[in-house]
Amino acid sequence: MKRKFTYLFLITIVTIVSFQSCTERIDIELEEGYIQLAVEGYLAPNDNKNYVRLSESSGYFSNVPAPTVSNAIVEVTDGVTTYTLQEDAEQPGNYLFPEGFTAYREQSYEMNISLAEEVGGYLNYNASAYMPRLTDRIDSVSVEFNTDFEYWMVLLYAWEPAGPDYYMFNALRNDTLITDTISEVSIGNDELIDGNYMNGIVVMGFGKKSLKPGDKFTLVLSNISEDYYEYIIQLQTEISLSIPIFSGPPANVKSNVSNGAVGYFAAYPSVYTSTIIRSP
Amino acid sequence: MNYKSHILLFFLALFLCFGALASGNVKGEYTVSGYITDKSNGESLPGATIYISELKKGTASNIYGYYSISLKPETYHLVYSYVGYGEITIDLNLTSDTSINIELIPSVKNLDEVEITGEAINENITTSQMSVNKIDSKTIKSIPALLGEVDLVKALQLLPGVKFAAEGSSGISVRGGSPDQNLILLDEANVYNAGHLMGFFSVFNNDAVKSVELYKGDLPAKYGGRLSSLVDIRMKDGNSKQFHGNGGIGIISSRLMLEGPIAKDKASFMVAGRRSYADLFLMFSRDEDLKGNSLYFYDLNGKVNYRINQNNQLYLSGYYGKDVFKNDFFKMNWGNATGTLRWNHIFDEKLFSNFTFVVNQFDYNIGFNDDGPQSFLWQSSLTDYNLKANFTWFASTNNKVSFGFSSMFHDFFPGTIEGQNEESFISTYSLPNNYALESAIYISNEQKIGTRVTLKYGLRLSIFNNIGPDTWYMYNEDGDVIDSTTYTKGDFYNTYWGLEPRLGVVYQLNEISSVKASYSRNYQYIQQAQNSVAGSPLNIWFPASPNVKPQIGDQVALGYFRNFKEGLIETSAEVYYKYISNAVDFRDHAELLLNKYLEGELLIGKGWGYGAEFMVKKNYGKITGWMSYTWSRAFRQIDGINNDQPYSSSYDRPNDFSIALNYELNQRLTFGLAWIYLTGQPVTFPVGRYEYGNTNVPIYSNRNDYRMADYHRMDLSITWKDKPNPEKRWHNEFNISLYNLYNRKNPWVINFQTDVNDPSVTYAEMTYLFGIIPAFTWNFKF
Repeated sequence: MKRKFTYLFLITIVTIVSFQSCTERIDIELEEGYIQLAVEGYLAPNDNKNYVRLSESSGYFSNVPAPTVSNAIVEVTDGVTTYTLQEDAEQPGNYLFPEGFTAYREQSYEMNISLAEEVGGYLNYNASAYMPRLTDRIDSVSVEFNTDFEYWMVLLYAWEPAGPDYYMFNALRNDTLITDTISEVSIGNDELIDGNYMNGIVVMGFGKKSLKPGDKFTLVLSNISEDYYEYIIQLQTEISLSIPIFSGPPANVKSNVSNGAVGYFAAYPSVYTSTIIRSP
Repeated sequence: MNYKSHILLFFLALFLCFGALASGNVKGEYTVSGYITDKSNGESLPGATIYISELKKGTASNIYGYYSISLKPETYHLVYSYVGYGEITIDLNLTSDTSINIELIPSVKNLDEVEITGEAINENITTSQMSVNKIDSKTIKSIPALLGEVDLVKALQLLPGVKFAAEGSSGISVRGGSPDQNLILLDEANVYNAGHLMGFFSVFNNDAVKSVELYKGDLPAKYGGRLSSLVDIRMKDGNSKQFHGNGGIGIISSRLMLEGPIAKDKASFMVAGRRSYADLFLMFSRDEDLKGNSLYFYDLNGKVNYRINQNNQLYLSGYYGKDVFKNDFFKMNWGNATGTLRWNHIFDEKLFSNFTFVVNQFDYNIGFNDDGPQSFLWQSSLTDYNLKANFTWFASTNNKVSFGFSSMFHDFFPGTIEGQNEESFISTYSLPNNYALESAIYISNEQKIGTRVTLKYGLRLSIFNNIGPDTWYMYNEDGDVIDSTTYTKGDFYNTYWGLEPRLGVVYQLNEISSVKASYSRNYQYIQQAQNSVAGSPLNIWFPASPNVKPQIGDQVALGYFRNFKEGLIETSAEVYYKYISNAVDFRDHAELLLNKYLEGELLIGKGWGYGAEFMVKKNYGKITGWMSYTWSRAFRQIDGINNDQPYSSSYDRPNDFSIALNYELNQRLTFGLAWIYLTGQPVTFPVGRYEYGNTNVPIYSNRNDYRMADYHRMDLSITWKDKPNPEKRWHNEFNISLYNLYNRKNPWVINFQTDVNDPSVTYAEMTYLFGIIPAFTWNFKF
């Protein structure tokens, strides 16, 4: 919530600054950093999104898709059962869970990776993730058009349980995910609303053309861990525009993978709530 | 350490000191003392000089224009002088303590034609103070300004050793220090945020300003609390001779200043106001969304002074300024308010005193305009109450002792957010107030030894107390809370203190050149939570505490000063080295706004810097102004940042060249020129990237391993005045200014973006703020 206020403020100032400023593309010579292992792992059973993707980092201006890492042994354990993931034949570098695998809330998972060849100076990497509880007492979701900002606003009506919770929001338009890059995902915490009834709190916003009346809109609420919440904040900060008045110095985004690998292995439950968008 | 015992100890020391010095006071000497003022308006003239031809010695008036000198009973020629004013010589047969108030007359003639006797002393050569620059409001006005908005902070940025924090910012970096290391005083009151409109203009209305002095690290013992500099801004006292006014209409703001006597030569007033109309600007915006917005600032300055008699004078001054931004949805305002009451009292000709009481506040409010369940109000403020007493004891011709104390109570209100509606689902999130007392006692002496050497030695004892109620959190290495302690109201639960020596020596090689050296130590007990380069009004100040030790700065400097052509041209060269202990920085991705656990975001380390500064300044003639060149470096090493390795500070810009020139073609036409060149700002660039969530995530170089392109810019102004006519009371002046004359695209920020059409392509994009910007201002005077 606090971040939302700050963002509102930032957006306003950015608009004012951009009134006077101009931009242009420039050429910069950059050294190339050393290669690191990049991990993108999900345990999101409600989203049907259970996989681990392994790739390599590259020079900033390399301008080709990241090289994938194949032939690794990827295992995930809940402490009792260990599952071995299989590399997808069609998408090299993507490792899939065995059929029938499911993950449970309030449970920790550990991932171990053994590479066929060293990347970033190591063969073995590991990471662990905790799947939080789910905020599922949702009454409804509504989508309203704000004429001041010319923006679609997604309002949530739900009970916020007492105790710290961290949220990630995704959106589906007519059953298709429209927040398919992490920059579009909305996140929040309950610092200012803990234990209260959320009586139409704005959780997401979309441009005028992103949605239209008559669309089926689905809000995906996911409870994420505090650490993953911080990861997304940091990532979104680093890929958004920096302005000297507010932005702190650039800094690398955290990771929960060992041995200097980048990326994240996350586990989260989700709940889906749909509505039909009415005319403004 | 017990606070009361400190004070007792101090007064004991003071008493002893006095005894020693008083016994050194030569018997059979008489004192000549008085005020030096401007005959045309009654304004006091600080730094005016009194030269005794027979002794080849002299002194200068203090900040209130008071001087005092003790001499043996003989006959003397006293020469009173001040740059830009005609000299006055008094023949005096000294037989008793004598009071002489002098009114100097401003030179109307072109100063090239003024006869220079060579009798005046070269104040810049003889003073033991070094690393100091003084600018008066007339000079500030002559410098071309962005959008024609005359700005003293922008003038300071052209001085050697001073750089802007970011383009357009009213933050300054002095000798590589951060902007919060500058003590900015307006008539002795702290100004915590010197910027209007996010810093593009400073809060100081030049019409109300008399002069500004910048002390770069070598602070007089009287002042402390910041590591890098003191910016001492003095408001005009107000014309005590006759009623006058001036004002102007520019494209950003309109101004009006009125001044005049309340009782002739006894009491006068000055009021000045300024209001911007950038909101009108937005109305013409192409962007429809901006039209509903209003954005403006205003400020008011006021001062009255009353001379009760020769020995007592009162000054009351204040400032109030606000920035307002609002639209149908959202509102925000921030600003400073200050009030200063001063009493000058002369105990006897040799003991001048000043008592000051100051209240100052900076605050901001942010909220929604509607009162729906989402509406909220976010507030924050910092208020100071400050009592100071300063005594100057003109002990003898060779000794000038300054001593006194200062005690400042800080009330920090870091912020709170609360719902504004009964149905509000926003619970109040509140950071409790915290309180601190920052006190100091000091004594210093300026001692002349023979005709060539002047020593300055002083000691400042600063004491800082955190006062309850407060909750203190203990953090682990990762900045997470592991324990907390609660303190009750009035509990002095934490104390820091420090001894701050201030030493200086001048060796006069001859009448026109000298070598100076200085050493100073400063303690800084409060700092700003800012990790952006330019800073915003939302960046709160926070005090030292059990978790945050005071920052300590040590600086040594060596300089050579030489005047040419009877003081027409002043030159200086200085080298310095400075070292900062307990330097404060912030963790990567620190959350600095509304964070109850702000101290957990801090990292403590050290900083150091060195440099050489050169300046040539021409004081009068058709062409006036200065050129300066600075070579300097500034580094930091903080565990937890940059893999614990040293890195360039964001204000490390090795080459800095500035020119500020004013050419008076004739009595009606004047040209102003400014040129600035700075090595590019150090920045951290991505050297790698990886994919996550269909996005390219940057992997960065070491901190500040790269630099943006060098910054340079030329500004020009032309001022055209009415035909001078002493019969006429009303005078017009038209000013045209061109900012960034050759339209240089100076990078303000460089962002790295992913191509919308091809997500595997990333590119760098530079944002620059101001192209060539013309502006027109009409000024008037009556």
